[in-house]
Amino acid sequence: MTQASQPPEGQRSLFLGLIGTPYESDLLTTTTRLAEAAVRQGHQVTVWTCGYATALTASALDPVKPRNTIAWDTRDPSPAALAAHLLEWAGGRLAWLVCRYCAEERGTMDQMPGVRIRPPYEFVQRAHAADACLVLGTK
Amino acid sequence: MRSFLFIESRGEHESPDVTALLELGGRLRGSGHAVTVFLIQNGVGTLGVGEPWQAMVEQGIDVWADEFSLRGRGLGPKQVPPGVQLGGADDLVRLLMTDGVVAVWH
Repeated sequence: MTQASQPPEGQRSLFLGLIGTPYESDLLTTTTRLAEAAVRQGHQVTVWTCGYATALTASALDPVKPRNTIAWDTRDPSPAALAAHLLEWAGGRLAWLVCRYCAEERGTMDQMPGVRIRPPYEFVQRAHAADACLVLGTK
Repeated sequence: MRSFLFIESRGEHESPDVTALLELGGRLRGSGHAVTVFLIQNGVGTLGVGEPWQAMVEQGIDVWADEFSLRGRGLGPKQVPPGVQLGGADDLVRLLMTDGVVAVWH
């Protein structure tokens, strides 16, 4: 994927909150699909992770998932690699933020490059400041 | 009049709130508000129920089903009741970015 084109003037902002257990459903897939589509449409996107979603971009993760024994030659990217790819492709039009409180509580303070850890009160500030806000999942 | 966007990600067997959410959408529409329901993830499984969706469409509610979620569950256009629109992430972003819309994820 080549880098996203420059946003048009008057771009709008979308805040996506990814809350809760990321592997329980398709939440991560949906979040990244929405983020990618919004960047392509010229919007500025913020992904904010809370709870165990803060582990998706932990620096300890390999770029690929462990091998699948029934599809040995297939190497799927890890969530961290997916986020890194999105960040690089979006070229500054996507921010991936991690809630400090949730990260401290779950031992996920060591994050991959490009991901920023922010204090929890910024969740509300950023959600309010955005033109549109969607919080995916429940806590 | 206000605009509401309900994004349903759960199946009706997963949570009793699915029915409650859709009933809320129906009441809001009945009160003159614009209502859109976007089914995604396991939410597309509720399309098999059929009749309630047609009733919602006839009531003037815009109902969308995420094609990606349908394909991932072995479902296709044949399982989508008449009046329900097929869409994807691009459509959902456009609906989300509509001025003044109140978006609710469930």
